[in-house]
This record gives sequence, structure tokens and C-alpha cells, in this order.
Amino acid sequence: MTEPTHDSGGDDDPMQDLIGRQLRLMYDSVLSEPIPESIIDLLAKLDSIPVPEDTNGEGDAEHQ
Amino acid sequence: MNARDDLVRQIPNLRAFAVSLSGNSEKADDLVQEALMKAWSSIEMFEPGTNMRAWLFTILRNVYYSEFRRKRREVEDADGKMAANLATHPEQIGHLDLVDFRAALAKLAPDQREALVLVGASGFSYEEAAEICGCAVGTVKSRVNRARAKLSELLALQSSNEYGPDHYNRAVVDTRKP
Repeated sequence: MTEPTHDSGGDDDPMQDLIGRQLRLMYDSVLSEPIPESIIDLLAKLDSIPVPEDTNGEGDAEHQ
Repeated sequence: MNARDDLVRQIPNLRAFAVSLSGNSEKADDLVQEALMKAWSSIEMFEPGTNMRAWLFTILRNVYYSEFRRKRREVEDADGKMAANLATHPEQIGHLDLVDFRAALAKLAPDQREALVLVGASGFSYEEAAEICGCAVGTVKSRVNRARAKLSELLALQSSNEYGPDHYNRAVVDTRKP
């Protein structure tokens, strides 16, 4: 399969390298932020709504 | 890991995608909340073992586009707001360069911006991105190419206007130091 399946990131074009880096820097900076209070609160509310227990089917190999 | 735990694990990525789409941290968290509520209420539709991140991203972008159509003017004004709203991380890259990048990203058409983020930052393949966007793989590729070309143009133009033509070359060289 010679058709690229993933973004190659611009190979050796310095501008495209810069774009790729800036993009990931921007994205990763949000990724590493703690989850805001408002979303934690929402999850707590959603948790109090009954949900089918384990939609996974397989046993819980890992807890937490 | 059950679906609920899987969902919670993806929240940071969902936030990062929402910020990239909307250009605004506050708006992004509103989008994320709406997406989470929709996801939660249809969690039974999620097929265990499939890609939770992709599923959540699909929901989020649907929320984004239905909001986007209603609030078009706010998005067109995203430019200045975006640069003002987002935190910057100077580090190795000059403060102004990251702000410039974000401002430039905000200028892209949303479909180009999201395609670039999906394959360039969220880690999806072209095929996965195509499924999320509901379009052909070729369409994703051409959107990514156009996004990159447009950003290249905007960043080069911006830096040569403000700092002279060598600015972006210097920034590029500096950030390539090991």
C-alpha cells in the first residue's frame, strides 16, 4: 500500500514542519489542562442518571 | 474498561478539538458539555471496542456546525477574539509566532481547519477523519492540503509584513535546533 494513510506532516518543508509543530503545541497545551469544574459537575450529574452497567461485554481487566 | 470510563478518558482530547474548532476556550467547553450530554444519552448506540474518540468527535462536530450556522457572525469575528482568548506558551517559539499561528488558523474555512486538526493533531488517519466528517478520503486530503497551503501563505505574509522577509525563516531555523 503506497497511498499514505496518515498526514506526513510536510516532510522536509520547513514551513510545513513549523505548521505541524505549532498545531501540536496548541493542541497539546489544551490536552494537558485539568478538566474544568463545569465538566466535572456535569459528569457527576450524568452519573446520577441510570445507565446500562457494562456496555462492554468483556470483563473489567483493569479498574480505573 | 466500560464505555463510560472510555468516554471520560477522551475528554481532554475532546476539549482540544473543540478549542481548535471554535478558537475560544469558553465556547469550546460549552460545545464539549453539549456533546457529552448527547453522547451520554446515546451511549447504548456506541459499539464497544470501536473508536470512542472518533465517536465523540463526530458528535462534537455536529454540535459545532449546528451552532455555527446560527452564529455565523461570531465565527467571522473569531480572528481577534481568538488571539486574545487563548493562552500562549512562548518556550522555544516566540510569543508572537504562536499567536500569529492561532490567528491564521482561525482564518481557515472550518472544514479545512478541522481536517488539519484531525489528521495533524488528534492522531486520526485520513480514513478515520473522513468517517468523522462524513466525506470521502480524497476530500479530507484536499482539505488538509488547502489548509496547509493557506496557513503557509498567511504565516509567511504576516511575518514578512511585520518583521521583514527573514523573520519566519529565522523562527523556523531556531525551532529546529536540537
